[in-house]
Amino acid sequence: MASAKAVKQRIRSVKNTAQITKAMEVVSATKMRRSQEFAIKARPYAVASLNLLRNLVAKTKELPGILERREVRKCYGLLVITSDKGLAGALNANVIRKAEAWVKARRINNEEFILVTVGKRARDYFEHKGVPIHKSFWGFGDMIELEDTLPVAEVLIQGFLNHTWDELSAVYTHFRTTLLQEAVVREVLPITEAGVREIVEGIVPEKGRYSKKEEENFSLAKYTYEYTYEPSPEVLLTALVPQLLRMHVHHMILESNASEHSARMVAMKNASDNAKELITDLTLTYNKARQASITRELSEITAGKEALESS
Amino acid sequence: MHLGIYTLQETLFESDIKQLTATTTVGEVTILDHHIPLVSVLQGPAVRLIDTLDKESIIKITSGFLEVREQGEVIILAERSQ
Repeated sequence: MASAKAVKQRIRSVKNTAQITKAMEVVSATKMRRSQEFAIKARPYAVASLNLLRNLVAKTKELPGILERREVRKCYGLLVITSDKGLAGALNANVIRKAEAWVKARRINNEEFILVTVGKRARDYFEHKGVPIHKSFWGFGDMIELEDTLPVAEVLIQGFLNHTWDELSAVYTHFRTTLLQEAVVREVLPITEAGVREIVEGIVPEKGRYSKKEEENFSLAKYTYEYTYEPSPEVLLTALVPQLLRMHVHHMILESNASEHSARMVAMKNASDNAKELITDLTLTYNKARQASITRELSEITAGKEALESS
Repeated sequence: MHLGIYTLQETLFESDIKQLTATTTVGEVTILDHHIPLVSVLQGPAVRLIDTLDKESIIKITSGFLEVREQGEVIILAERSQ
């Protein structure tokens, strides 16, 4: 049996760890709530602009370059969104696994592909693996503004217009509920109607505080009447579509961020619980060791006394 | 009619109004009740509106999209720099 002193030391170190994980759990919980709130505030804007886009697309014959569906697809792009930091359970591993599957599929079909990464985890992993990376972004904080994610959207748009990729997908963590985040692959470019609908549906968590559905207000079936366009649908589309993509990219990063915090919160909660259990076990071991040494000392004293008396 | 002005960060305005004046890329428009459905691109520096209590207010935007729907619903997707 380990000495009482050694066990005591272990208890102390486990206690320290538990304190840290507990603190991280609380911090993540707060951050998660904030980033969820943040994502929700963008919702009326997102829904209205998507509705507008759908309507415009239906009315326009000449689609701008960014909506063009190319018959021949030479190169495929993938946007991988992970966090910068670890200690968030399987969050990044799930995203990377999806991305790996995507890469594998491209390799099997002998198709060219290139990645754009957001977050240090994705960059480190794919750099190490020698997968071609077009550009890496990292260092997005928790309260990111649209301006912060603009460069990402710009790179995606330019890459598409320059034929660096003819199709772009994204892997990111979809925030379903606080306890459930899911790595998903979504088609981003060219922007399609189905893709647009997916974005709207994905914008709100399914359950919990921010999940209220106001679908009546944002019904997509309202557009039966004719609009007057000033200056023209083409001009409007050219202005609206990049804006929409910026918003989409922003939203995916926000959602990944909210997921990161939720995942970390859960991971840290598990760690705290494990630490607590470990402390209970160790305390028991410590008490046993202490009792054993007391018993031993007592019996030594008694034996010594008896030896003295019998002599 | 009902006006909603949204930015990505927040909802700037959401209420019933009497009149809205905004600058589009092709000129100024004033929107009253029963306006025809319209979609347009807006410019800054601001939109002016008169609410149901005849109070005038000015909301700053840098750019945006204006959408007038059939049942007197007006939506502005705005951008503004902080």
